[in-house]
Amino acid sequence: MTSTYSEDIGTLPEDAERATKGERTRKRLLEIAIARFGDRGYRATSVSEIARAAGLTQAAAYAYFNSKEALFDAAVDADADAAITEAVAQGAGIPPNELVPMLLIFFIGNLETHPLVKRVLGGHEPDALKRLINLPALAHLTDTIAARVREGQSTGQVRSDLDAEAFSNGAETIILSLMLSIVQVGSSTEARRQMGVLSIFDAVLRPPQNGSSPLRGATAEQASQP
Amino acid sequence: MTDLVERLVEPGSGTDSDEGADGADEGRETKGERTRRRILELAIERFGSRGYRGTSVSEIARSAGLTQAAAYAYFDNKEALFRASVDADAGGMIDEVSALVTGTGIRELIPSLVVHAVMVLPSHPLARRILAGMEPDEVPRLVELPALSRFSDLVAGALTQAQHDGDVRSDFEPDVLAAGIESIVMGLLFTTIQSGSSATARHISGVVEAFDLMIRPPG
Repeated sequence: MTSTYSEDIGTLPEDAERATKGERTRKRLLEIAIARFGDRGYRATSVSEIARAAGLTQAAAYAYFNSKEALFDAAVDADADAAITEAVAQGAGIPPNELVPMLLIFFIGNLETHPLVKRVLGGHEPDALKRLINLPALAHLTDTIAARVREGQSTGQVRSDLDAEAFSNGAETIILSLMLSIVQVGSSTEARRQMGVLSIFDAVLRPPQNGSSPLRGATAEQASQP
Repeated sequence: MTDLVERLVEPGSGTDSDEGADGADEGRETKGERTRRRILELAIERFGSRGYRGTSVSEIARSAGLTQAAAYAYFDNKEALFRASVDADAGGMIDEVSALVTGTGIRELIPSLVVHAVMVLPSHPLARRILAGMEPDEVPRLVELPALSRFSDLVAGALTQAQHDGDVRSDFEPDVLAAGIESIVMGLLFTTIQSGSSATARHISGVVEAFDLMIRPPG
């Protein structure tokens, strides 16, 4: 299943005009699927009820997705991609060394509007969780992080001896893992943990011996730099 | 590069009972303490395989050679027994993993912690069950385990020492970093277990690269 983020319908007015009826219908099916699956789960939701809510017959719905599982997977990907797009937009002005922890905070903040992502992260759809690591939408996240890191390297905010792509793969894994544990553990606002993760990413990215870390104030015992 | 993780294990930290009144010396364990420990071992096994709902105190007591009433002398109720079992199993697992990463280079600390935790999981069925998400009510308690903060303190102490030795960069705060490491390792553990597959090579090398750079001293 190819990632849909590069074909996001409705980002620009011209795109919305050009979108075919078929694309609009597919999008509508996915929106309804996200809401229904997110609310009641895979087993308790039927393709026919989703189709009906989209004004289609079940057979017509199957023209867009081969199976219930294919519809579910596409819905998870679409919901995740929307969540990633939102968080990335919110992160636009944030310096690269704070970006990854802030993305995490934005994801958590937006989770209520992404019921299917929340349901899967919460462990209620174990089969889907197994496929989560390979979700196409995650490529969007990784690419964004890598691009911001490279930007930061060109301005000297991020250390130059770091492989942006390797780092962004690691960051993606860590974000996914932390989202999983935060949703299931439920203590998303524990300050100590948030500071810890922020500190780690700052320490990873900040050029050594360069004193522009926002966390520098916390290291009172260390020799301070201007 | 010095083996930072040699410092992770304190001598005599192998106990998994948080309530042993006179410390970890099993040679002087009283009959009561032995019985309590035996109940816990069996409870870990039973709860670990059938879960909270599917296990009864009377079957645990029976397999320990006790009546249900005798078992309740050691634990107030089923929930108290369950919680003590979780603490014992998860605490034991943390201590076991701490010992296993001794001798690993600091560069591989985080992936190594995750890999070893996954390796020892089969012998910690209750911890595994909780990490797998099968006892959702217990998950929030995981982050409050005494063993976990003990582990965090050890990591922070080891990082501090390594800073003094010049083996890792000095411009971060060890306590804060240790809290972050704890969060990340726990998260990685959840993902590894629930996704049913280990992370692909690119994911692991990305995490390794990130943490190597994080700690490496400048120059």
